[in-house]
Amino acid sequence: MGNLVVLAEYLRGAVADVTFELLGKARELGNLLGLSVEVVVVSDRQPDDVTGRLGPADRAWLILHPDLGEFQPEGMARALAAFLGERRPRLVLTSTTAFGMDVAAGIGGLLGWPVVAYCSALQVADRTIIATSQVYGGKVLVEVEIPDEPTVIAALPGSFPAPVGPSAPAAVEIWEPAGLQPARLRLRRWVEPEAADVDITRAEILVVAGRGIKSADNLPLIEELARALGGVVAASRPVVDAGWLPRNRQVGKSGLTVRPRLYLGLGVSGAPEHLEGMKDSQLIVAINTDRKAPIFDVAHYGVVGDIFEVVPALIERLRPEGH
Amino acid sequence: MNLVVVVREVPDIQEELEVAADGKDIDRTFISFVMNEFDEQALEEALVLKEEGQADSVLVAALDGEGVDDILYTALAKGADEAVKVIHGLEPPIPTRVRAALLAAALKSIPHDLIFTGVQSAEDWDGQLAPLLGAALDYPWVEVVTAVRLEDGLAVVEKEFKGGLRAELEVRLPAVLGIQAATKPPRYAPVSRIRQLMRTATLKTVEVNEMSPAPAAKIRRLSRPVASRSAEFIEGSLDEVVEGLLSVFRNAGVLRGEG
Ligand SMILES: Cc1cc2nc3c(=O)[nH]c(=O)nc-3n(C[C@H](O)[C@H](O)[C@H](O)COP(=O)(O)OP(=O)(O)OC[C@H]3O[C@@H](n4cnc5c(N)ncnc54)[C@H](O)[C@@H]3O)c2cc1C
Ligand SMILES: Nc1ncnc2c1ncn2[C@@H]1O[C@H](COP(=O)(O)O)[C@@H](O)[C@H]1O
Repeated sequence: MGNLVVLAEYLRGAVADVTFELLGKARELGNLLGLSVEVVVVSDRQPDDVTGRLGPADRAWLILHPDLGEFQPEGMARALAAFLGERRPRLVLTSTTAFGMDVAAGIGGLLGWPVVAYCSALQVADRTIIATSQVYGGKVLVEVEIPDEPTVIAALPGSFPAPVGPSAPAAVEIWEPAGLQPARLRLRRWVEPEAADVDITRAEILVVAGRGIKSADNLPLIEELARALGGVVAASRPVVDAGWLPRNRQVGKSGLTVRPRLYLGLGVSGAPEHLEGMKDSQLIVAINTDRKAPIFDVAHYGVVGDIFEVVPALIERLRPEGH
Repeated sequence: MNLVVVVREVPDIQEELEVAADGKDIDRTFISFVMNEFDEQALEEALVLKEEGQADSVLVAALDGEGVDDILYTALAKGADEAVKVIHGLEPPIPTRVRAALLAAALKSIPHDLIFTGVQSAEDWDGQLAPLLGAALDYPWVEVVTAVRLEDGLAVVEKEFKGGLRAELEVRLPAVLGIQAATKPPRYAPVSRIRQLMRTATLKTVEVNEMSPAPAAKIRRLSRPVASRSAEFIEGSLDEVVEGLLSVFRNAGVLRGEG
């Protein structure tokens, strides 16, 4: 049975941290299963000092093609599928990032291989590989047995801590895809994030508004609490998508990663995509009416209650004249 | 320019979800279904493109299943021109790859230039629909799309990365887009309009044959997560809760200027 292949997330000249998390996990599984670990980078040129950093893979591959210099999700998936189809690895490891979400299911679809998405744990029991996925907004875990055929895993970033640092693999080999179908997709440009009025990654106290705040009309209440605590208002994705707060206040997978001294979540359910951006906060406190909300699985302290009762009372108590 | 929006029902995760007795699925007896929130975004983006005159029509399609009529009528009430229910004969849960195969077969008889669907659903642990559908149809696909503009035979899309970084990509049509967020929040369909359409409108149907089972990882069991560290709950009267919170803040040294 083949090897463990990690797809390096190489974008704009840098390898993403999650690649090293996957390499660390692959190394651990490889030791248990007696399989070697390979890593694959897709590019249009031999990147300086990238493939040379992708240890501790036993082998590093560079898939080289003139069309694959810029970010090109379909072309990357097709080139990777051609490479992987020849090799039939035991597992293909990628993650549920913007890169992995295009590539993982794409490869699975092109090759007819099973895909396991939102994977948060990988174990070996009696030589069977068992993956755990987080579904239903993190409220349910699905444990699956990896079949005896190549399988694509897309892991949630941050699932495999203790990432291994960069080091040089034994060798870097080049593989050039032949007959790649002409690109039907092209990168026009990168659009940089808008400048922020407030940098939520630097705030010590974050008061985080979730969909539970119900309407933009309730934002002043949340802002008042943040002021009273000397903190800053941040938000979950739906609050930002609704246009109630600017994008640069968003915490999570597609937002920012924060580690404040205090994260106070108000009506945030704690979906995996949100937790990805805040679970390492120093002190996590959550107020939510649903005791089963996944945010309570990472919170240090929780209040099962209505923010529209607790927040006004908290503000009242924090007012100087309230003493 | 004909847009097709593929939508699906998912269990309402705001409600209680229980694991079925055999541990292989959630208990589907008493749950209510809602449209996948990202499909709502996909539908909104398609409707906006039609209203702006960038597209001519919006057709919604869904695989048959419990709660599907409701979401299709809701889509019509929001402004979709047509709704198609794909009849298949499979029992839930249907693996995403099988969904993609069924939909690809149904799309043969549905005119389309561009297909929209949600970036993910609460149930697609075996892969997201957009790339699987793209691979099944041999169309290009893009996941995590937050903006779409149509030009001659092209869709120009923004794909979102972490921290607000976006890639502007041009995609040759036909293509499949997995929509993360529409350019504006999804509209609301008045209940009276949905009720009216349930009496007057018809859902078209397309029948497809059962697909051979796709390889999938075998489910061992479903479970509720066990917290890695369980929160200490602050309970009691409102006053006690507030005092409890303040003492947590104080102990952590984050309470400044109090009293
Ligand atoms: C590719 C991708 C990237 C994503 N990136 C992000 C990201 O960066 N950040 C992010 O946050 N999400 C992200 N998401 C979305 C994520 O999946 C969830 O949809 C989102 O986090 C849910 O936000 P929420 O918790 O505010 O809302 P909900 O999940 O709707 O939760 C609202 C909560 O409020 C509670 N509530 C309601 N009323 C009250 C009340 N009166 N008092 C107290 N509690 C109340 C409810 O019990 C519920 O738990 C992403 C999704 C995808 C697919
Ligand atoms: N400020 C804090 N930072 C990190 N973890 C904390 C903090 N306060 C409490 N905890 C954790 O929350 C749980 C409950 O803590 P305690 O208040 O000691 O009962 C324990 O697991 C603590 O380790």
